[in-house]
Amino acid sequence: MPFFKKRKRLPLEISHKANIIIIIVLGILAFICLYPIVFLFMISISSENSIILHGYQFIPAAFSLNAYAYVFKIGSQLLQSYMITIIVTVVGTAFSVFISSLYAYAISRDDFRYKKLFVFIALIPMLFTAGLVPSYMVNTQLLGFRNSLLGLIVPIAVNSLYIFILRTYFRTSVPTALIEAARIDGAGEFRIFYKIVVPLAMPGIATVALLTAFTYWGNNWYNALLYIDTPSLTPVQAMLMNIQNNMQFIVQNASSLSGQAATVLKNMPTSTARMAIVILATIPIIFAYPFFQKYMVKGLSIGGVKD
Amino acid sequence: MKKFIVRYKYLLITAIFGVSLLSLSGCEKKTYPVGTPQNPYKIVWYQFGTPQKDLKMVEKKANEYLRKKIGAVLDITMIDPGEYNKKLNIIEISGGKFDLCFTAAWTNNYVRNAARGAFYPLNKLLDKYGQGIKKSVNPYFLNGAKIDGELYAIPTNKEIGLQIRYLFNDNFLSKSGFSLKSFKPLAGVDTLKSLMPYFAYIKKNHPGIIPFGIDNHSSFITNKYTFLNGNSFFPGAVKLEKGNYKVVDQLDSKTYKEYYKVLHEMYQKEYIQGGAPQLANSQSLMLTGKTAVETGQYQPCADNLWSSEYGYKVVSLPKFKPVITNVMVEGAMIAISINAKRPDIDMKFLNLLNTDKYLRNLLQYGIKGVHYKKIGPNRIKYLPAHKSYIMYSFTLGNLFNTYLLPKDASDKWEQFEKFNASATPSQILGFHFDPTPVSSQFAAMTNVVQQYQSGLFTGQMDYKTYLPKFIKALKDAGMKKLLAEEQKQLNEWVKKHKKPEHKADSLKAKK
Repeated sequence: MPFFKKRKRLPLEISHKANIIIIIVLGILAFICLYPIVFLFMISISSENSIILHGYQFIPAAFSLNAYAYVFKIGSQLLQSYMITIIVTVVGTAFSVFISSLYAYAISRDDFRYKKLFVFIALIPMLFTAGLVPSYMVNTQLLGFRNSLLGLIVPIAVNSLYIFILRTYFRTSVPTALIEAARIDGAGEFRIFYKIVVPLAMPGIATVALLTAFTYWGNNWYNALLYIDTPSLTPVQAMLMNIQNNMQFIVQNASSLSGQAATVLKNMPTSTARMAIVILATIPIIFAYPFFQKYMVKGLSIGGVKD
Repeated sequence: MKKFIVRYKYLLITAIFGVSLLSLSGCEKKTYPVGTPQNPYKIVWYQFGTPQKDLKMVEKKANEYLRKKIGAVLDITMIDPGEYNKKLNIIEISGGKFDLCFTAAWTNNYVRNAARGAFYPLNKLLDKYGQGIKKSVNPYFLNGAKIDGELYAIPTNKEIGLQIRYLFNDNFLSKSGFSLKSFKPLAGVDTLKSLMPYFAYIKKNHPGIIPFGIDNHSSFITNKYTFLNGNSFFPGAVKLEKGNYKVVDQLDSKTYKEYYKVLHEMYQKEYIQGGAPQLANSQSLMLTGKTAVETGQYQPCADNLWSSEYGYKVVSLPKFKPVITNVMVEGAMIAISINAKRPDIDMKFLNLLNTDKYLRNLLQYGIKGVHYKKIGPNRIKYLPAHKSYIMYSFTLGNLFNTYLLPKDASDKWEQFEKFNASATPSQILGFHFDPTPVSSQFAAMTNVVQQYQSGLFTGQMDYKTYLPKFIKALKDAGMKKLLAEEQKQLNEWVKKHKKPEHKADSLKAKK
């Protein structure tokens, strides 16, 4: 048993038994998290017939890569949607973090005269929402977001919750004395913000950026549904949602579609193909984790030491 | 200056970023010109269907023609079927500006929109600019779709009668020694009963084949009743007889009980597939070719259609005579928005769409020589580019003006006319129940129906034990009140609509 060779335990090291238990618990948790994705993947590589006959199986009765072949056949649309998602995520995250951190910084400073007012303004959307129709009217008729990427970026750019997270972070991680020192050295407000506050608060900003990026990447289909009609501007998630909704609708209203339903249904991606698209749509955002992880760990440790 | 830039570098970055984002979102203003060929009116049209690649190309071609003819151009936006209802709903509520949209009983609901004033009333426009529509569209459509005497959308002229048929996979039928003559057509539940020996034969000789493949709702449509909610499972129906205006709970009726019984027997004998209560639509089942009999909604020449879609020869047996109901009349329509700037031009366009063969086929099949080629005076064949332009035929007006496809019977549209003539209108055609006064009962009952529907109507549940439970749950949810409200509204409607202008014969007969 070379792996479990007995060696002397360091003073603060976890005991061998405890270690095993922790590994088992974490392993189970990891398994619970991974299982759906692996299952999804297994469905995407099963053959369509085995799904019709046996339903979804973890180990499919018959394997096939047809789904991926289909996805690459419709490639151009998928690629286009991918590009849109990436653009929206990158631009949206940058824009969102930019706005939120400015806002949060201003209300984190005690010497800002209108602090209370702006805190109050930021609080309003946390407690009330105007609802779908008014926001739709503002976004389409006043701001003209119909069929524009701005419709995917702007409506979810500012989240009051993130503003408050950032405010708290600025308050705890940037000492007022430091800001005052910079002021005495001759720095203006904006220089203080970019040179002193942002670097110090990087872990907090990165965490918010990660959360925002997730929202832009995965949760933006609803805005696409509202504001985007052209396929060339549809993000991947909305495209998937379209396919899913269409399938469901056609299946339920087949009789109303006067016999044309089966033709349409035939041209739709099969369930395996849809799973393949889901896999392809999820994977890139998984790679965002390692990129942000160092900041997140840092953020946690700083928060832990500080009081 | 340089010093200034250096000094306020960060302020500038902020300002530039902020301003550039704001300026991107500037809104555009449009002014609609008058309807002349030089200055055409733009008809904004929300169309039901998956966006098609070649739409702009076809639209351009159509615009050349329309510009000359009525001084208008089209601006079509296609919306995916699964999202059409949601999107249109938001656009209508928020007062969005558009001209035309697709509407029906099953998506972007016609009655609800007409009631809330989203659609332009068409009676006057139709008299003035829609003479062609009046001539070409079956009067049952035009009159049946009226709400309190006013028409709010132009129905597509298509099959008007509802008829359910049993579809036989001929691969099994032709070798079985049975033929369509062995069964009893047009007899409702007796037709189903007459199929029993055939199911038994399939069960015995073709293991692995499902004798009767059904889903959890479509097997159960009958012509004995007109359903006030458009749903055969939802309580509230009038027996289909001239002059009968009594609202009843059809779920407890003799006809229904017979069905429950037969279906349950079939389920027990495993003639119906075990997954039926969960299956939302039998179409996917049919595509596998592993069923012997299914059900389907008929339209003339549908046997050909089914055969080519499912990939095996299909022959069909009618379950009952075609009936005309609201759901059929409101199957597919085009409405003019209340916010349309020039409804007169919109109506001129709709008139053209329903009468002009060139325009109709252009929008349906695309451009000649690109998307299709002509192989006869009235017959076409798809070219490979057809894939980039597939439209739902019922969303584009009068079906009877469209070209035939290679496999269509040459008298296809005559058959449609004949079929439509053979259909009997319901005596309450045109009556629309408004559930708002009893909305809470309605919602509660919807839940109850959902709970029992799939079990009872696929035969999984034994009606002897479950029907009383079902009825009791419905009664607890307020069925009595709902039926009373339905009866009240129907009585008012009957009183109002015995005027001679209403053409439904059955109503006259009643008077």
